[in-house]
Amino acid sequence: MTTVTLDGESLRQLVTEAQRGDRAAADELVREHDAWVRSVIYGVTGRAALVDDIAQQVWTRAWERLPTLEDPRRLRAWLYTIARHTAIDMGMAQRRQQTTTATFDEEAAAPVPARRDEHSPVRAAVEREVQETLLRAVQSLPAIYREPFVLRHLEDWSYAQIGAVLDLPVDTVETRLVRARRLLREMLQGKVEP
Amino acid sequence: MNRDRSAKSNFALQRLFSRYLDGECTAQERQRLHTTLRTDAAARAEFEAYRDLDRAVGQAMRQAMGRTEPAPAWWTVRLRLASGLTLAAAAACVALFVWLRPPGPGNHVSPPGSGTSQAAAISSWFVAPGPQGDEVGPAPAAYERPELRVRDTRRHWLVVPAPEPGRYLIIEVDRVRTHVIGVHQDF
Repeated sequence: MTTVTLDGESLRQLVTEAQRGDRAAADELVREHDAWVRSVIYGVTGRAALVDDIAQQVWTRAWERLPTLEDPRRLRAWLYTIARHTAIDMGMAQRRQQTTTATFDEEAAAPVPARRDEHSPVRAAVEREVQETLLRAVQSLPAIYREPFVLRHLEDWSYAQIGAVLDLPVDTVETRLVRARRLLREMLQGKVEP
Repeated sequence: MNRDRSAKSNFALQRLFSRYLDGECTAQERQRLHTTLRTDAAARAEFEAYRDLDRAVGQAMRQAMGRTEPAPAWWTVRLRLASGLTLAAAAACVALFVWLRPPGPGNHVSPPGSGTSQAAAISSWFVAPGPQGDEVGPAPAAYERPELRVRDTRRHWLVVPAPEPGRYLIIEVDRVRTHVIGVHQDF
């Protein structure tokens, strides 16, 4: 869960200092916002393995463009736009390089054996396989459903907070979360044992 | 027409589940959900499936993103119990080892005048005492580490020169797993 602790005035001051080239202020901004920016990247791409590289790129771009941010109170929306566009660009570039498709793999999501021995390598392997299956299902969600779903689970944000960042009405956020859950259930039904 | 109504009702129920799982329910909605779950077994099963899936997916995503989360209370208790048992088991192993350890020259004191020979005093449950194991002489001063390694397609051997000229100790080495260990006394 991400806690953005800065109030409006502190944030404005910090952004102004960072715009003047204060590295300590810029570091503070990264510390405050890095976790949710990463969640946005994961929400857009659906691939945790890409998050580190893209986050680095996002902060580089943000640092370069910081002087153009006119209203520091809009920092979150501004960062979201950069993160989303960077994630789309780099995610697509990565996808072009890959020969495999990112669609849900039916074969890989075969039913998992119910018998589990605690602390055994078999159990560890089964758990790993279950986790991979769950993550593949998340990855195969349409991005419009995945983004609010990831922010809800990783950041523990309310519908209103998610709506504010994604620039969506609260009702739409809610509907997308219902559909995300329903799709996940359809994809995973009978394939993993919760 | 009926199918549409059923789908709408189903969506409304899923919406309620979703709001509840996200902590967005009003008190009235929560009450409605509890009543539904009490009276409708199918709805209860569906809610439990959604809840379990939600938890599992959330946990998988947090793990994938390297987000640590506090272990649930029951898990902490299990961990504490397990670590307590592990400590007790380790202490028991140490005590057993000390009790069974063969007395060596440094740690065995024969009572004066008991007449017990050193050989008789050495006993172990693991290795029977014998001249092969106990009477190995010190390594010669000019001893060198083996440098010769014979290799073929299937096996490795280490050829160790013995103290006497023309004699070697040949050790066959498993190529799959080779371990380096500390040796306190040269053979």
